[in-house]
Amino acid sequence: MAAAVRFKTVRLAIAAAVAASVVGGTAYFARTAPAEGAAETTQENTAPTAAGAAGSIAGAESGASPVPTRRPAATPTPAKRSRGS
Amino acid sequence: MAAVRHPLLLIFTASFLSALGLRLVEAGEVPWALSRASGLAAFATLSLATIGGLLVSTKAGDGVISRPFAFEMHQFLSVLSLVLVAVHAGSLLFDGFLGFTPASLLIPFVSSYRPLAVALGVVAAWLAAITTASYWMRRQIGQKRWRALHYATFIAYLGALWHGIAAGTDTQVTVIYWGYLVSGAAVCALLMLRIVGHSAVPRRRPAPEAGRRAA
Repeated sequence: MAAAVRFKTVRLAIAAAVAASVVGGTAYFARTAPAEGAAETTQENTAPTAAGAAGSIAGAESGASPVPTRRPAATPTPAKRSRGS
Repeated sequence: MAAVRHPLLLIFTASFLSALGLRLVEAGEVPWALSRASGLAAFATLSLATIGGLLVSTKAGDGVISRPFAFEMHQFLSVLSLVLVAVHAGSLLFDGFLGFTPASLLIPFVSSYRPLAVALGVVAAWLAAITTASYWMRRQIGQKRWRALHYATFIAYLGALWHGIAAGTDTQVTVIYWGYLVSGAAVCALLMLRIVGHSAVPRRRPAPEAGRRAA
């Protein structure tokens, strides 16, 4: 009986922790989305610098994108455009 | 049968509520953010469920955690990972950016976005659902078949790992990258232990009764 209660408590604690992390993660990712949009706009609007060009080459060589959490899309959303401007 | 209904009800309720919530609010980036968060949580719980199952079968956790507790957690985390997979896939339906359809989320190779990586995720989800549901159908399918079917968990795990690395957009984040590495290493190590331990077990001698009869 005591073991069953303990299992139930642990299950509830895990479920609560997972729910909290999903909600927290969603809030974090949703909050960081405008920053990604702003970064895109900044890159588009500023002239390339030597350091930026070196970073782009390094990024292209390693196969890594400069902003790892940026959405894999061909065209920016209207929402992102309005945020950046 | 009631035990089967409980997790299934949980999965459908979670999917329905998340879908309803996304429909009611001005979603914006929320479905995409929810999909990322729930996908990562689903992989974490699937990893822990697989590790828990291997701890039970290899007896590697004996002395640290009780076997009934490890088994209980293995079962619970398996169901929880399915709930999170349902939220992960369901929320993508409301993200207009990638344009996922119900068919592309349920049928492998229908999605146009990273077809192989997404297909592996779809197959992994189906395999995880089948192996989890099979626990409550052991009587019907038999212990031997259930055990054989349970090996599909490793394919599901590998598919989920590949899906997370190749289709996920957060793989290059240090914490997540190391999470994939540590999870993969832990499962590989325990699997090796399982294989070595299984092959080291001596074969059973013939029963004394049979020996007597032969004599």
